[in-house]
Amino acid sequence: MKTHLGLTTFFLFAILLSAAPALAYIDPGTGSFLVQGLIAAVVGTGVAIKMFWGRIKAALTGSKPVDDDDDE
Amino acid sequence: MTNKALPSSFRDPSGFLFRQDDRLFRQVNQVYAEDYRLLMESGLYEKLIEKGLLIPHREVDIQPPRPDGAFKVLEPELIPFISYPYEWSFSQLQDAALTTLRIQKMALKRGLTLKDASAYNVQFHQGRPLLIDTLSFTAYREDTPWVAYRQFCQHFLAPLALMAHKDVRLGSLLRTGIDGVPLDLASTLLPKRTRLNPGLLMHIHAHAASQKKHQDRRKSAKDTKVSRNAMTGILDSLHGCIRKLAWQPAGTEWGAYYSDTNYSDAALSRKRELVAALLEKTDAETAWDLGANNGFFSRVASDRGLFTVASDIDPVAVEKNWREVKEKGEQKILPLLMDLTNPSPGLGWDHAERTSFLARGPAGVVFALALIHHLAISNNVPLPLLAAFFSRAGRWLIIEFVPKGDSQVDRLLATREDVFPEYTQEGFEAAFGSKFEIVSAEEIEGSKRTLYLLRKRD
Repeated sequence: MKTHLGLTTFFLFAILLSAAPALAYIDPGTGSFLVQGLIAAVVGTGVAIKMFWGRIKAALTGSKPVDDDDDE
Repeated sequence: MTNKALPSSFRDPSGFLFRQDDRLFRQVNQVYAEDYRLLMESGLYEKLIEKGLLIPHREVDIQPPRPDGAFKVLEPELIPFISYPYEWSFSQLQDAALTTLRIQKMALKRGLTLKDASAYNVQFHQGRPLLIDTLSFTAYREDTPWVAYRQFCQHFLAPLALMAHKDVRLGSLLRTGIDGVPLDLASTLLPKRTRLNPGLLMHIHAHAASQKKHQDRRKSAKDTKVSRNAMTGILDSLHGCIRKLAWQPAGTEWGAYYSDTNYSDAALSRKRELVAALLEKTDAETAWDLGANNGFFSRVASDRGLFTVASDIDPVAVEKNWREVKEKGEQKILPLLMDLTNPSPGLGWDHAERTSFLARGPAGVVFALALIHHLAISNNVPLPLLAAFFSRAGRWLIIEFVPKGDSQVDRLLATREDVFPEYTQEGFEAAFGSKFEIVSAEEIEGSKRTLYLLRKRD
């Protein structure tokens, strides 16, 4: 798990440095981009609260924060 | 050696598919090299393969067909039958949508993102939806919105919402537009009450309004920021919204067909044994069960290891069939929505991006059980034209002739003039005999019907 996280961090860092050009070959649409900004404001707060609450719960119960992704 | 780029593979400059000597390959271009390395080295490829979410491939050492700008050549695992979203039942499209979102979340965790979210990039393989476009991933840049958001909503959310909230037949809109259902159209067609559904309000109604407002593209979207957390929130919101969309299969003409026909349980199981015995006489490795209903007879083939396409005109029957596939974890059967009187045509650019139904054949064996009277009488197709169609569909044909005097045929003729003097057993044998050799003809006990095994003439 630790190695995995380390690897991911390494790649994220590598991407930020290299800033490879993303091949956006489809038109994302101006309206579609802008509405994501609005939706982000609505749902992003929810995710932040969920994560924060997860950490508090984990701290109180002494367990690890639950990762709700199903790919592990 | 001949190689030919697939006509569906031209939009993305990252690479393209080509056939060479009956094998399928994918050329990856230099422009995609960094993204490809990231996919392979970030652990994402491995994880997606482990979860059965991406088509596996191997790198091969053959000459790329367009060497200028080529980076690598891959050989992906073959999918036995390519199907299209307008041929899927409600839950098939829903499962494909949820799979796409799951992949995008897994990609994000590893520093990548889907640069497209086309429903055509998902195929059903071994009973499960998976992504077939290895070149769909690109490096994720922090705080950028999802490039494929519009496409995802058009290809998945809009048709699913229309099918669930308005009419399941609206899934056929995917056949009209090559890039999904336009969101303004979906927003207009959806009932007003869907504006009270937060997911549909945001991702369809507000999304459509925003597209309309900015269609002149005067405002730049370049500065739009969506944090990683917010992106996760958007994906979770789409996931929840799609998962909650529901459609209950009931109420069509064919939904309860087998509990509603003149076949008793015993007669059905005898017919099944007869079909199995005829199938044993063929050397077929693939089957198309046309007019398959819920796949009762398709399973005669798929349970014997033949890859089987089970097509039906009725969305209820196809939905029930798909649910059974999932419940039993069946790998050899693909339920498909298909109106044989108007089967899927060649669509898209140059009529070639999406292949017609028949062009995806021929099958080793075709089943046409309790079908021909619908085509011949309800749709007025003369027997010689039916014989010609079936001879293009498969090398072997197991076909049930349902004569006049049978209760089902009489029902079809009850409300109309009988303009079918040729529709007789002799007429059938003459028409099909010109295209096929009659290998055997078995009367079905307790009915006036005959089950034929036919082999296509060379």
